[in-house]
Amino acid sequence: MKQRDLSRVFDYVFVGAGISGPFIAKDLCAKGADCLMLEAGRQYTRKTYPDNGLDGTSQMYWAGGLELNHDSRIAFLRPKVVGGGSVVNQALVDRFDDDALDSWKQVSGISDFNTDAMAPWYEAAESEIEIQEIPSQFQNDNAKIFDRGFKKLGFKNAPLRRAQSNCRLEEGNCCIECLNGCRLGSKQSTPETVLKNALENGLTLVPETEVMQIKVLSGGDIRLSGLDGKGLQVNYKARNLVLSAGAIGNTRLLLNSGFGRKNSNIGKGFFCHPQYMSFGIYKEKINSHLGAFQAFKSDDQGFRKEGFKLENVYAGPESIALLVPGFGAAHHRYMEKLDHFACIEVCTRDITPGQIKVNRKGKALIRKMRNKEDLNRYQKGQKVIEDIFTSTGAKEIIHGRLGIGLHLMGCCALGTDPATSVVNPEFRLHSQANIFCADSSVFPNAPGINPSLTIMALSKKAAAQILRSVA
Amino acid sequence: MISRYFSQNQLKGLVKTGDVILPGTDTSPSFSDTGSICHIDRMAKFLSPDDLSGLQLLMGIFAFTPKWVITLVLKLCSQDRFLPGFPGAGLRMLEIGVKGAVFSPYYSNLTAPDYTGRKVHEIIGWNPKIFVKEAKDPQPVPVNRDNPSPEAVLQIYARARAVQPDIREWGLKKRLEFISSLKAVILKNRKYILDRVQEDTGKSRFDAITAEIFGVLDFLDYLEKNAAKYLSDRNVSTPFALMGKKSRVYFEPLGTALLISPWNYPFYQAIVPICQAFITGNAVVFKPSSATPLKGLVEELLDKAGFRPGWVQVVYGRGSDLGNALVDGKPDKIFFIGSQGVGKNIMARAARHLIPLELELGGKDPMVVFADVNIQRAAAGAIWGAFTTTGQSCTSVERLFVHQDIYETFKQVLVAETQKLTQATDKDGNTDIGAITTRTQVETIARQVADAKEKGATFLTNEDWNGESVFVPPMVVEGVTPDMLIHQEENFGPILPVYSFASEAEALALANDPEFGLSASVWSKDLVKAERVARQIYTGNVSINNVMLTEGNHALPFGGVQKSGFGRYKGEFGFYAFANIKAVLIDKDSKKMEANWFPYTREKYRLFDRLTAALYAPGRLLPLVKGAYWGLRLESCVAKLAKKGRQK
Repeated sequence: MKQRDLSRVFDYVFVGAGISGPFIAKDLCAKGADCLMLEAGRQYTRKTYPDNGLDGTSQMYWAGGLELNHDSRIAFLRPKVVGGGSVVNQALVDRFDDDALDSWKQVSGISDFNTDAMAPWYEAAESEIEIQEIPSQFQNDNAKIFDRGFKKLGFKNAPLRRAQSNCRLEEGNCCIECLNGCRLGSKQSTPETVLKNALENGLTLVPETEVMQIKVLSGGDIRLSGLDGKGLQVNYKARNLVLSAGAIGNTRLLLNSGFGRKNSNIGKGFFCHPQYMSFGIYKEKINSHLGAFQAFKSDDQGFRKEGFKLENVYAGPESIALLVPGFGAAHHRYMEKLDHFACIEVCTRDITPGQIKVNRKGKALIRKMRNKEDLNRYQKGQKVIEDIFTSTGAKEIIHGRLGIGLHLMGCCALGTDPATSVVNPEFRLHSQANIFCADSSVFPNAPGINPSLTIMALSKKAAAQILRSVA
Repeated sequence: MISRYFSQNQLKGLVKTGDVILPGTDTSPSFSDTGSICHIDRMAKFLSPDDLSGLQLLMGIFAFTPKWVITLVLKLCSQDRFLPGFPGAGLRMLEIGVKGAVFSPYYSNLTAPDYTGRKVHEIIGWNPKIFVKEAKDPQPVPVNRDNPSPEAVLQIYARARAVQPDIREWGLKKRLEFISSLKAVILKNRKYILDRVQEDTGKSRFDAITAEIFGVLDFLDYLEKNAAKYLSDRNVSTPFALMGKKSRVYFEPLGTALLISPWNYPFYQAIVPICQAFITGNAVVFKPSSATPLKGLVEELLDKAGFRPGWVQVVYGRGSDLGNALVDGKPDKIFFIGSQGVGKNIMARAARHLIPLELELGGKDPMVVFADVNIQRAAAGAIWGAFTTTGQSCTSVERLFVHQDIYETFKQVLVAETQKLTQATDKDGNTDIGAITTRTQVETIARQVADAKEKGATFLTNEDWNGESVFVPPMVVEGVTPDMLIHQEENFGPILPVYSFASEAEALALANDPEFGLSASVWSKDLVKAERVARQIYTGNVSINNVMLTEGNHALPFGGVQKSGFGRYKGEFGFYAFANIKAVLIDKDSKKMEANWFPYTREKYRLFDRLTAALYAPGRLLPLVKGAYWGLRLESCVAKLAKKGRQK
């Protein structure tokens, strides 16, 4: 590495190179700001993404993919890689509806949360990426079962909007291969889009550096200290800080740096859309892993009211093995029939806020309860899945044992009132005006809709506000 | 299988648990069948420290837990409806952690390299495809280690330097696991190794097994039992004047070691220096003799033992072609076993770069037999010492001095017993000596023999050797005079010149060679005399009433004096051959200033002088008391200076 200028003070330092950080950095760098982005995870390219489940899960998630809530009923898959969730997700990009934004408006007191006021920011976000639907001829058998079941039962579904540019499905590419990073370069992850642009405009990206602490210096500058890839301590300085390490990352950093004393709301209001996968086992081969398995989403207002949605997902065999209950020969028998599995997942809109604290060692502890209503939502969804599988001829149905938290949101909630929130409508910390945050950690509650596109939109909005305030 | 994160026991526990979770069916292999465990480190590396230590602890326990108990525990874990709260959370975490560790490698289709069964992905019908258009990054061209060009030699060193931090990071304890594993691999493959050694050297089977297998295993055993003792951090004493501070010695690797070995014991002289350098944490570049390369054997065995690629690189070729390039690659240490001539060249070349080196060169080793010995035993010792490995040992008996009182009898036994020796490159261990390994050496021996015959030496056995056959027969020679080549040069063949002597003083004068000093043996019933003579011989190693036996104990150092080389390897001192012995003095952070720091003042000088005089005066207690007094005075002076500075 080049010799670092120790006295260099950046205009903006970003903690976390997931979705929000690169989206904001792109706009700031374009205006000539001197930006530094620190990321705990590694930086991969299309050519270096892991090509097996073991390496993918171990290398690209915190704690090797093994982060659990307090009662070990929900496993969190928290990306730790340059590009964050945009590298490892299924690239679903949906705008929030009135229902989601209204509830945000209520909780946060921010009147801008409505579809009209958000529309320009959604448009700005969408203009940075390519969005496509999966053409019907490439729906695989897993998707067809989903579609057939919905039609039979009279539910409404819709084709999925995905951030992808050219999956060349006609050549036989299988989407499942891109869950550890898209080797085709089709998935519109931030390293393929805005991050690339920010780097071209002078962004300094330092991967494999975990920021452990931030300190506001007497002049207002912010000093960050962390550990580099070799475990050695490094320090950086900047005039402004943008927190973009997600709900758990931001919270952990703020609490470990003593910000909890200034604002007791930090860490409160954690949501994660707990998701539960269920498998239908069919007589015929389904080959859910082939082609584009996730072509549809549920689009049923009934489901929306009941607080869940169904997704037509799939996962690698090492993950499915963890969800299939039991062990021993019986477990083998299930896995030997894996190509007969279809899969639907219920994603619940959780209403019981969780809380993130840190222990004495600085490790994040995730307390996430589910109340009766949360469980009710999950059970209702599971019932619909059972109906879909039964109506399409499944011989057996297995429910995955473990909830999975992929949409990690909240803990630094947006709001007008410092007594109930952490981040103000200008995306600045109530307690520290030169610390910004616009990622999923600012979500005031669970929207029940995939968060990626809204993270991008909020980041676009935050970038515009930052630039306006500088001007 | 050696893991950076799990001990052998913990791995045993993991495999056992793996087989409870994945016992295999008629279609699926079991967890242990696939050898997936080999890939566990790829996962363990990224676990949080807490999760990892939990898993380690659990697996350590499961190693000693019957399978039915593990089954019961896992069944209990899955009763999650009945296990709310903290205990339930712990059990579920255990289940998820253990299953994750087992499922991840197994269902990611990862197996041991030698797994030949059906792959798991094929069984479960997992066959997603992706057609990546962009060309992958070009694979780095493999480094050529067979007669490498000077550029390739630099690449070899670059590789060694790149992997060396990894060897260091594994730590001493883990490196010893590789040594244990290598020991097992060598034991298991000993027949194959013996075949390969005989193929390259032509030595007899028995010579091969004693030196190349038994010797190697014994050395590895010694490392296993002693490396931790000698290479662990050591606290050393701190003198009174530095009270309150701690002194420590670290034994750290030097970096990359270049090892060059001869052809007489090609396997022993490969494994022993390699492991000696490796155990301290060095990367190794090893060049075997071009006469006995054992091509691919060392790499194959190290690979089987789990050594990672690049840790030990074997380079093939002639020293005359490669030697300069290998030294110019600037290893951090050179260790050479071989001839004087080559040793000189290497040392001269190494001097250009100031590379430290150790040389184990040849000898002209004496055996001194006094009149009070058991003649049968001493003669048998002389014959073995002179003719084992057909005389091709640096520590072969090359000069036999027998007291004149028993000379004639001794000679008769010597000749009679030598005539009984059998010679062949056999496969069943039923032959005494084998062939001379290189043609050049046969020529050297022939030249020395012809010279001796011409100058009037008497050949008591095998006078009729034709000077050409590689099966050079054992020759006992009498009447050797100082002008003969065989008296002056290292012979490195089965030639044994016998001399007689009259007194202890004469024996010593004869035994102390002006050039060499590698090893010697002294034979006498009178151990006081034997030790007296042993002390007087200027040499590196002495056996008393035995021959070439210091090498039989790996706790003893090995090395020579004079032109037989310098430096010691093996034993306690051998551990230091490849170590950066780092001195560390630890003081605490405080306000305190040191007496020997600035400013210097007249008063401080006076007190310091008093302290010196008090502390080092004769006696035990009084100097301490006085020293303490002046020490305190000095300290308060220093403290005052620190506060107020130098007074004008």
